[in-house]
Amino acid sequence: MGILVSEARGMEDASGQIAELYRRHAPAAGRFAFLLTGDRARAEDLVHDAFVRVIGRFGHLRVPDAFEAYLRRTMVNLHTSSLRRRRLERAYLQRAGSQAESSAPMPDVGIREDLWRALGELTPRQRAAIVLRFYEDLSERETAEVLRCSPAAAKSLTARAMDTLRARIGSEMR
Amino acid sequence: MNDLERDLRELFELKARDASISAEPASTLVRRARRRQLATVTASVVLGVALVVASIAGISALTSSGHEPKPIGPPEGRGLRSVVLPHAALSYPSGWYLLELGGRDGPRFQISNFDPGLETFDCGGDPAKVPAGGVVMTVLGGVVEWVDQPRMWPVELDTTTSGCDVASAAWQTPEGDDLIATASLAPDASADDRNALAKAFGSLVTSGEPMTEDFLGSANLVLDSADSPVGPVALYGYRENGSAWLGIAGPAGSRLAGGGQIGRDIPVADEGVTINLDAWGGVVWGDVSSAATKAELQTVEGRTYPASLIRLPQTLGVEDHQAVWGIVEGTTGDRVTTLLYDLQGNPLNSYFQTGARVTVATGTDPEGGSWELYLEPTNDGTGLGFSFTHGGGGSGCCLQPLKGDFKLDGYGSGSDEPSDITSLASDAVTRIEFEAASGERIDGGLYPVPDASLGIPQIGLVIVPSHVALEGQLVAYDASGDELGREDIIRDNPEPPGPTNEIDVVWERLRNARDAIQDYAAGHQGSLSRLNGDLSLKLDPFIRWNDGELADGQVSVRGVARAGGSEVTGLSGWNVVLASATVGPNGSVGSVYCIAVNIDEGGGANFRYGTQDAQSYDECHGGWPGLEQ
Repeated sequence: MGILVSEARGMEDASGQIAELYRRHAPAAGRFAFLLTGDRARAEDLVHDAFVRVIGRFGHLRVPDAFEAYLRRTMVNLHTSSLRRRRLERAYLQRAGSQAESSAPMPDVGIREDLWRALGELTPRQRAAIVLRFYEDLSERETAEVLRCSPAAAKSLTARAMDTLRARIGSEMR
Repeated sequence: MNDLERDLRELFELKARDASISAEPASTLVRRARRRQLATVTASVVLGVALVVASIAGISALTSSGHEPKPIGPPEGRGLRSVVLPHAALSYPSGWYLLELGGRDGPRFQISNFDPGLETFDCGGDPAKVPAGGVVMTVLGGVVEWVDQPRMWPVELDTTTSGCDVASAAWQTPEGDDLIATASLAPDASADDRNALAKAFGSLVTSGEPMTEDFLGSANLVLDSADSPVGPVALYGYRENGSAWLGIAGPAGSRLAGGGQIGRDIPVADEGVTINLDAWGGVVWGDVSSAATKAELQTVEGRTYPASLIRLPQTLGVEDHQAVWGIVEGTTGDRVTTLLYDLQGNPLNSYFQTGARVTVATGTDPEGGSWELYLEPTNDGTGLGFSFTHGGGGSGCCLQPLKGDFKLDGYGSGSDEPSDITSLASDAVTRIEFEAASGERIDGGLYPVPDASLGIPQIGLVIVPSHVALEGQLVAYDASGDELGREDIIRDNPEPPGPTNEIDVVWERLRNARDAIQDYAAGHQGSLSRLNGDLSLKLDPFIRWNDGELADGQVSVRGVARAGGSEVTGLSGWNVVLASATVGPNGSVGSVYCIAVNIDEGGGANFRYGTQDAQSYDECHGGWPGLEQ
């Protein structure tokens, strides 16, 4: 029979690892979450919730690269499943946002903000598909993996989102 | 890259630059993360005896929230169930509770002969907290520093002792993962259960790489497992965000994975059932009413497969629902019906088998050429279709038995080709005619329906030349020349604008909402039972919805209720009323309009219009001024 000694590693050490993981991944996750949610406070909440969720499942990661992918997937999942409250908040934020933005009528900014507002009209999965494709530069297959759907479905989501954006931008400019 | 893609990329880069969040984790965040994380193992050094009680207690304390164990649940059978989890596979008594805990380096799974809730069991060092007769074992990955050589599988777990965290074993897998098993056993645990636990442990196979597709419950209770053509698949129940979910996971790379929320409404039929479809077949899974006592799967091609009904454990917190699932093999269309039966064997939902077209009539039109009038069996019912051989035409679904002598079925037209008007007629109808608004009179034909079970004696068909606008009335006559019925054909702009801009905006909003409800019903087998929650997700995201009082720019959805129906088939219609209003002086409610929507048994939509702040279908009536009734 072998001799077993378990490692006595302190809580402080593990907490330090969590903090380090957070420092490493939070900035990129925050940017991604902001593009998903359109709101900094909600983005931060989303990152925190997802971070806690992923840490809980992956503890001491042997494949550090996997952390980022799971964090991204978890953020998408959490975001799309907690929409009701967000929708109500968004109605307010959009009104508030449109008032604030009206004081800065730069031509390019105006177009961008139209597009930004139009993104807010997409369903969460459509928006996630767009962000994954054009911000994260994921392929259709990779996008599908994050969204947990087939590549064809991801393609369809993206196409519908683009159609909607074109329609919205078009109507804004008319 | 097109302009929109480029704009999106630029926008995202710009926005992301300003989206920084603090890179320093708050202390509360670390604590939250720690609660979810399995800590490293702390234990005492024991020479000669692999005793890791202290370490396991430490682990349990970190992975549990002091849950009090529930009474032992009734076993559902003593057969063995084999399940493949992401990082472990094992066989265990099918009536036991297997929790998949997800982590390679954290808790992997827990098995018990009692319902521990959806969390790891923690007896906190107190043997009295192990339920009477209970046995439970947790397997988890940790960090173990081996003084000597690591112990390799197989190792033994002594299940003859009794107490809290009384038995344990540690070993290293070929991939280099250190695993620890710990078990708690009640003093009165039966010898059979002790042996079953030891055998389950002995059957364990572990893997460093995920063996299944992943999904995101933090504690997933295995409800059943089955073999599919692509490998073993498991059905899980779990809770997330305060709701109960069902999900499946198949072998890694199989794309068999998914989860769905359950428990909001008791499904009427199989509307809560979905399918993961692939080239080899698919896995059908979901929740149905607990009224069903038998289930089977029917493909659109008519093939039948068995389905299992699974009682949901109390832990999931869902009453009057049960899980259903089964595997369909071979290529199939995009739909499989889950047929449900009650205790007496009565069907709780309907199934319509698809099949080849049945020609009702053929002919040749001087302008459009040869044509065919046909019945098309679909899995929703039988549709009536018309087509010109060279193209054009279409079909609708689904035919209902004719009540009365005459009913318009539908009409269609294309550019530069004749239009067609189809109608349903009793034997009393001997002539049918289209009276065009422009003054022309065009005779049609009547054709007997070859399928008497449809309850429709004849189909009327009028082919309208392309130069005649498809606007007017379709009229049916009997043998004496008396008129039996008359239907309006309104082609263009059937819904005129409101009398003022403000009212027109409200009318347009309500009409869009009405169409969204209709689309929703069409996509949910005519049922509105799940029309709740986030309506913008379920209906039209461009409409602002609420389920309460009138609000500026919003549509209030009220009075979703069943509209009666057949007790035998379980099919019933649904009613709902939509209301919206203009804004009056000082922000008060202005002119109110409503649309009462009835989804009938066949899934068709019927509308009634009114000017009431209606709370139910019945309260909306009288029509919009000068327009819809």
